[in-house]
Amino acid sequence: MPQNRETRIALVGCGSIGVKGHIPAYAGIPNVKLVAVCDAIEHLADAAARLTGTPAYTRLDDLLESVDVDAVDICTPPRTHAAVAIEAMEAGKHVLCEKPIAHSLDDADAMLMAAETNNVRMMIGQVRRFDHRYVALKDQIDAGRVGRPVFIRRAERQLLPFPPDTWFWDPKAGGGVILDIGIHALDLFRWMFGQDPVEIRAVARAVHRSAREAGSFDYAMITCKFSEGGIGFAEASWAHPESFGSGLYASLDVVGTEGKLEYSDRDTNPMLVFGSDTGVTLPRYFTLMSATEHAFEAQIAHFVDSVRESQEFVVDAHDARAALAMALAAQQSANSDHVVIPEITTTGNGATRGSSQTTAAASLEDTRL
Amino acid sequence: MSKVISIGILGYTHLHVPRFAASIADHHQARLVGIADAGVNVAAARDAAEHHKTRFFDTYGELLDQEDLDAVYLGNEPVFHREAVAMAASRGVHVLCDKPIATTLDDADAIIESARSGGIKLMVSFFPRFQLPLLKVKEALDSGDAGDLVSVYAVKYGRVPTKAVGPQSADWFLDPTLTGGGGFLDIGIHAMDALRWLAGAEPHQVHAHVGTMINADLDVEDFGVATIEFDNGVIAALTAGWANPDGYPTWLDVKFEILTTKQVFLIDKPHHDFTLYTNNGNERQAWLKPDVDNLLTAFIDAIVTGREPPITGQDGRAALAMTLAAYESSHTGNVIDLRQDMASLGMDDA
Repeated sequence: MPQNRETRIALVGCGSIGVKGHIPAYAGIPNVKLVAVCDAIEHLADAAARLTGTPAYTRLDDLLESVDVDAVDICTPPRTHAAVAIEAMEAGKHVLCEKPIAHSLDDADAMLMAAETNNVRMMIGQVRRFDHRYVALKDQIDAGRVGRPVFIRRAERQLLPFPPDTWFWDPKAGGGVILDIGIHALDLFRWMFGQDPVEIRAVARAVHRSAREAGSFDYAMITCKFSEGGIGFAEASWAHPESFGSGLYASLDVVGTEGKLEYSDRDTNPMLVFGSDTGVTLPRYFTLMSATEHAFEAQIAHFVDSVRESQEFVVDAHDARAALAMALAAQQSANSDHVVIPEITTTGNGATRGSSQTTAAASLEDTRL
Repeated sequence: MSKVISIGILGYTHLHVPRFAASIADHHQARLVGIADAGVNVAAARDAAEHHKTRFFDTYGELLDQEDLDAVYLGNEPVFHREAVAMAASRGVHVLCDKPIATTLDDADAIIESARSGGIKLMVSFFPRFQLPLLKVKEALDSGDAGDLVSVYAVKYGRVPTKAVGPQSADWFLDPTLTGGGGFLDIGIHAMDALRWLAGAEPHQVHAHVGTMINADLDVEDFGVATIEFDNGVIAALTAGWANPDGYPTWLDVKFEILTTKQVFLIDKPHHDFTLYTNNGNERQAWLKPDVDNLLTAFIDAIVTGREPPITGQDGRAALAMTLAAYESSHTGNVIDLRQDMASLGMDDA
């Protein structure tokens, strides 16, 4: 694309992450312009169009025919990622796509292939890698401040009362707490250790009725062992009380051979309010979205800059595929009594090179009781 | 109850012994009868006997043969617990046994059996059961106020015991033939018991990674992470070991994060501590005395009333079985089914 004009982006998928996460981020980024919005559900597209002052479409092909765009920002449900992304890439558009990359490894591989075939760039929004807090922790690890990291504990805990019938609850559609939240922790582990995963065990619960009825989980504990011995332990929850998400949402600890790192949102929430009626409350100084909005902005800016400057993304689409493989392995383990070997076939920028060629079928057979 | 229980100390090996000695000596329902030790910390044992103005014995038998002895606190190396409990039980002397109850399930079974046949009270020492925040959670769970328990995540980190400053040697902690394991066992077993106590159910499956991960020079493991599924659906995880660097503000880092269908409890350092600021640096000190005092009181109550102690030999065995299952899982890479181990314990009859 020409260096001297703004990068023109169309947003596809005007649900919560698109409207609350991505749209506000565009305002703060130079050299980029949101030029159209698209959602198969007309009223969602119209609402986003009013918010952004751009035209609304219900079909991507109509949008691509009528509007000159350089890239497509995909915020649709995971099971539609491949179809939307491949259509955009075949039209020669670069793609920024929300995580998980897809709901299946087949879809993820088709997307990776389409990027290569059509010679366009594709980045997946593993947004924690753009969050200044985790970038700072990663810097400490890389600087050797804790020696060699041996254990990372991550917790992401909130209440997300999605309507019972949405894809968010359905693991087959890329939903459930493991694929939606656990995937962030698993990607952080792989990134911070710089190792590929070799073995995953998850135990999980369906606390709310929506989770039970969807055959899904809203609370999970995931243990992942990495190739050089690093162990990651993650708690992913949608079963915590609503107040939790305001100030206590996340924590991350690293145990190393020569030191220990402790991070908790609690430590960055400087306010307590005491009320005679309400007792002690943590004010929403630190709402869930405000905790991550800068990360969305940094992520989109990085995508735009890297495309414009033809530079590598810090998080390769293969990293996103690895994160999906880990999350799917965790989902499979949680549904069984087994340890599962994740299907890592290629490596991106986030782990050491050198891959284990385990197939999905093999991972089932290798599952040891 | 005004009855005073005469308690002796068998073995001055464990770093907990000085705290128990002080607690017994101070307790209004207890009298410290003597200290028997011939182990690695015998010099410290003699000094302690002198300090507490009590008798010192060169052998366990001499102390156990004292006419006025009601009970002993057992603070020797875990591998020697079996023999010591047998000696006490055969004389009808009650036993408060420091953790772990033993290093093998065979030994644990033998200990439970000798206590049964000797008609003595056997209690195992796990501190979390006497820590106020955890007692409040247990109360909220038992009353139903907190709804149903969903999950517990426990952290138990300390430093390598040999870094402890004091008259006792802690080198034996690093010898697996004496301890049965390293940091994961040593410090984690308190929380293993607490997880089972809070869950109010028996462990069903265990998965773990345990190893010498932090300090490669050690002959024992120094870290582990385990997930445990209980037969009522509660899931739990424990990370434990000698993971705290020297610069950590406290020796211990203990956390319990508990999710129920109604509430979340975040408990950080349930033993509480306070900070001493000086010109030469700062020091966080723990209030550990109430744990020991309350545990001792519960043991004395069991002797006086004839009731079962709140932490039985079976509880001690279950926590050991969970820890050994974690070792096995880590060794084999498998999820370990614990139901058979628990069944052999006769929990169904309890």
